[in-house]
Amino acid sequence: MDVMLIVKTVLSMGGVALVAGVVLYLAAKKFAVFEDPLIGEVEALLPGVNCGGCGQAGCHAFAEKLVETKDLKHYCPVGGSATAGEIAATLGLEATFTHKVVARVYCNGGTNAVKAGEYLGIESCAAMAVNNSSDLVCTYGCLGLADCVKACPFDAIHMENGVALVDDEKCTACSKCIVACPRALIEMAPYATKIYVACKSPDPGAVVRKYCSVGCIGCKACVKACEFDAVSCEGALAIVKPAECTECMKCIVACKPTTIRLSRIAEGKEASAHGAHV
Amino acid sequence: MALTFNRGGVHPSEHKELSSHKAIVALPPPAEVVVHMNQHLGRPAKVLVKVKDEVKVGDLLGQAEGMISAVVHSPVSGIVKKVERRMSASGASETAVVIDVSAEQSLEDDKAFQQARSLDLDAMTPAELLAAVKVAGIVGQGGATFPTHVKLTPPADKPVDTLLLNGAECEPFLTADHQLMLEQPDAVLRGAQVFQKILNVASVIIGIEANKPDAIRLLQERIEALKLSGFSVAPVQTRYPQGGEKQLIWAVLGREVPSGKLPFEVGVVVQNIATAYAAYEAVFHGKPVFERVVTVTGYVKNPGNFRLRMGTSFQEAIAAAGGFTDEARVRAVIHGGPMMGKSIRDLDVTVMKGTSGIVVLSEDDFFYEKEGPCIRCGRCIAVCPMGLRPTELAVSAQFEQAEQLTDSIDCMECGCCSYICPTRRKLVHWIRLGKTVVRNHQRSKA
Repeated sequence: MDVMLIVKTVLSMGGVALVAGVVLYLAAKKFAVFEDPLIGEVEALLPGVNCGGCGQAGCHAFAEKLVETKDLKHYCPVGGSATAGEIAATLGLEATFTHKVVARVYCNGGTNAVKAGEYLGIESCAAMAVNNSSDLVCTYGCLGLADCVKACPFDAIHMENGVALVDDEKCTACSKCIVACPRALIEMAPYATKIYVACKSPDPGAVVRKYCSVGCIGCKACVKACEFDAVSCEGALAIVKPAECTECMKCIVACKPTTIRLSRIAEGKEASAHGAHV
Repeated sequence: MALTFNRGGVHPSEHKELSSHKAIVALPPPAEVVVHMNQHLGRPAKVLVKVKDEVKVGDLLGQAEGMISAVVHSPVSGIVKKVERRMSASGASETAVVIDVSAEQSLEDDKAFQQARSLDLDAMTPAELLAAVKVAGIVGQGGATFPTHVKLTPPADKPVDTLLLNGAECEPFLTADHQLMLEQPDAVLRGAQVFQKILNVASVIIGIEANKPDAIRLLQERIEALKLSGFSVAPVQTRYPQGGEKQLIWAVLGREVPSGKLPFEVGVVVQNIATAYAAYEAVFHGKPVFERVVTVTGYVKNPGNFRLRMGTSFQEAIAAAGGFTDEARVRAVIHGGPMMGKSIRDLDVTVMKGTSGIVVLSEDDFFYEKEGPCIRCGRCIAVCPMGLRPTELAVSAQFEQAEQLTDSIDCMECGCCSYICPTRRKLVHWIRLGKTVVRNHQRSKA
């Protein structure tokens, strides 16, 4: 009696399983969606952070886009040129060399900049920028409430002396900080060129001097010091052209308000040039 | 029951006694003026003068640029010292003309505008009057600074039947409009007549808060004495924000302006008392807007109402009111009224066409507490005159939910919600942020 019950149970449940299995098999065949196996392969090469820095909804969407278009102009800034090379090999394309870029904050104000009044509003740069309610006198500088730090998924940007600073090594150029900055102070710059002018104020020198001790005053000392024509001055704001810059450090030494600085210090001459300011 | 708007509102302590019924004092020209080119809503004016140019009172300094813009005139006679970017009372760094003032010459040149021209309003066409308003650079002097000539040109498909003159002055502390009505009732009414003629409307209603009974009575008397047809005074309840455009329209006419629409939609144009006065001066004296009545009040030795030239620094305006009572205890200087005004961070900013008041707050008036969590009491919803849910908008702004923030365009930032919130949530600030979230969202979609 008990044995029969067991046999019946096994047979009936097994039968249901068999029928369901056949139905599922047929359904899977009928409604199958073909996905290019390349998409999976490409996705495996990507960092998998889903940061959206490439402009797509995530790494899978980016991989789909790449396989669909077979166009390397779709670029993963996080993976950089190494990933781009691997993707190109997987897709059977010729890798185009891409320079690594990093985000750079064009302000060194922070504790060097003059504050007026007291800001009692919401703790966010975006809120501070609404209705010009910041306590910073400079209308171009870093507001210092770290919206960019909160936006960075890679812990690559931090507040130092009241101003945001990018860690070149950790930065993956995903652009999240650029979007977050209400003062548009963050831009992409080539990783290779460490020298940059940390100021965005086009105000004349006499005005800048009143509100910031490290703002560019447009004195052109850097322009004169540069032997490679890599530094120009537009109005009262110096600009270093990365393509021509040889990192000879002469502009850094020449810059009296120490506006021109290095994004990171690697070698002896850089350290000593930077030390010239101290 | 006095007339009032349909929902919400608060009644903060008025503090108007500090400066009410104090006669308007004209200040001598300051040594230097800084005249901004963006004293109005819309595009800044284009600078017409160069350094070292000699200018006279009433000379053009800036030319209007584009549809919504206004001309800027020189408030003094003197020599242009600089044309550069200076911080304005709005906190932004904007193009300004700095003039080295010749005081005697300025007073001499003022005389050209002092004599009223004998003028028959009926003989002038609306187009002539509108042109006079436009060349005088008149903007809404209540604080919004919308160019008046644009506001007086309703679209052809929206017939206007009523002109509302806004004398509510619902902001605490401010008494400039009140004093102007008391001292120059005829001029204000003549200015309103100019608007009436331009708009070709029969009915002109002057809305005044009930806390100014003398002004209500005086204007009623003058309307009768001058035999003005179609004019009437509507006393409205003393309740903030009674002077909001949409609130006043509801209070006086019972019409509701639809969301995101202008008063044209319900056949109304609202103009401030001070704007009407400026229109009177423009038409009858040929005088452009280069000075205005400003209430300097609060924690100053001698609060009062002053006639200040544009470009006079706040420092000088406060000095005219006797200076700070005790400088060490000053906590904030506010451009405008305390509810909607903006705290300034530099006393070198200058008086503009929209400066209705300069309010100094001491430690005693200034109350600050860290923002607490929302306790769901619903008071902000109860006081919102626009029928919004400030607390929910604030949360949506905090988490950047653009879809939830569509209502925020209706917020006029009157500050009732922040005022009433028992946990001191910065609701208006959040909603302001929310508006930028909506804008960014729309831009990213486009």
